[in-house]
Amino acid sequence: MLKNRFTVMLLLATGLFSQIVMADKSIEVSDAWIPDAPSVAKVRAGYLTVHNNSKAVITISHFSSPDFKKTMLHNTVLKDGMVQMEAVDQLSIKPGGKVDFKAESYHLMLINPKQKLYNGKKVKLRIHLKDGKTSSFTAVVRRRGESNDNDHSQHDMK
Amino acid sequence: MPIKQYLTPILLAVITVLSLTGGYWVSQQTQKRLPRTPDTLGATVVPEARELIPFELINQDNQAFTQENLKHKWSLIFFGFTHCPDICPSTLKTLQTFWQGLSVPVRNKTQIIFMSVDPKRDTPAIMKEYVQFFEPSFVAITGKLDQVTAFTRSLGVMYEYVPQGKGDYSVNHSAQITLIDPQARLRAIFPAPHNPNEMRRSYNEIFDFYKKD
Repeated sequence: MLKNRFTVMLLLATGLFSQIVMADKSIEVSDAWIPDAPSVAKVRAGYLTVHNNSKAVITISHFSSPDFKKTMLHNTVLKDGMVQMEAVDQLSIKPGGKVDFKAESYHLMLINPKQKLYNGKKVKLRIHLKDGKTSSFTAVVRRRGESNDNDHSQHDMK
Repeated sequence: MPIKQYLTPILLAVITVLSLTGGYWVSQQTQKRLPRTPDTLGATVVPEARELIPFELINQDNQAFTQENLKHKWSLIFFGFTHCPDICPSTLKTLQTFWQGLSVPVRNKTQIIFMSVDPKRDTPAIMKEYVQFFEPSFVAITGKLDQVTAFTRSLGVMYEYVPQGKGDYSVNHSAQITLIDPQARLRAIFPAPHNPNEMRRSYNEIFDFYKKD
């Protein structure tokens, strides 16, 4: 009986491990950052690049963060001289492709920070794919216009 | 006498030619045109500056802000709201870069104004901290909703509230930056997207062209 339980646990652990490795190869988050903003700003933007390293289309369903009350995926659209913020239900990335979440384009809406955000502060975020896979990463708060647009993020997969 | 016979018509012809020439010259002087077209200028310059309707708003110090506060300086006004995470701070950053690159004499004759179209949430105290994060000299204004609507409409600026559930809302709004001249008249519009360096070149050109007015 004990041996069977051990075998099941071993299989589960092996399966989980293989999913981590597989997911890790399929999706990559880089340069995740949050523009520094006045402390009175209740809603922050989140910018990052998501790479699809797999040979299949991946679909982002949403993002989450324990550091904000609510996290949404939005797109800034300029239409007839008007700026519109459109909620995005899901976003697909073709095999080998990437999507940039950046100013005046796709971005994260990070609503009501649970702690004070300041330049250099690291924030936890998680990307959720439609197939159930998720990946956690960190984003760093930094000033807009800084030229060091290199990779500030770290991520692991589940 | 043949000469006397033709003197009057000749005199009339000379006067007519002089009048037409003079009239054309005067019209050229009064209808000043920028040498560049709007396409290359990056701004839409109003051919004849338009007077603003009287208005009464409040600034970040909860002081009255009227057309008098737009006089004696050029004013660049951007419309937005502080719950806006992307385009508003992005444009204020653009205006910060634009502002920092102006020469001191031009900067002394210029003010940057952020107008909140969300007066329900954007109190003077919130607006003050918000704009001064980007540049301490930036001005923030808002007002009662009807006043905000009247002022924005007079400038051709639009905004609309978009419900987002549970009483929350976002605001769609015009992305333009509006240029008011030192006589408190609408002079030009900088349509989005905005590049600080291109905008500064255009602004300097407009500033130099009209500075003798």
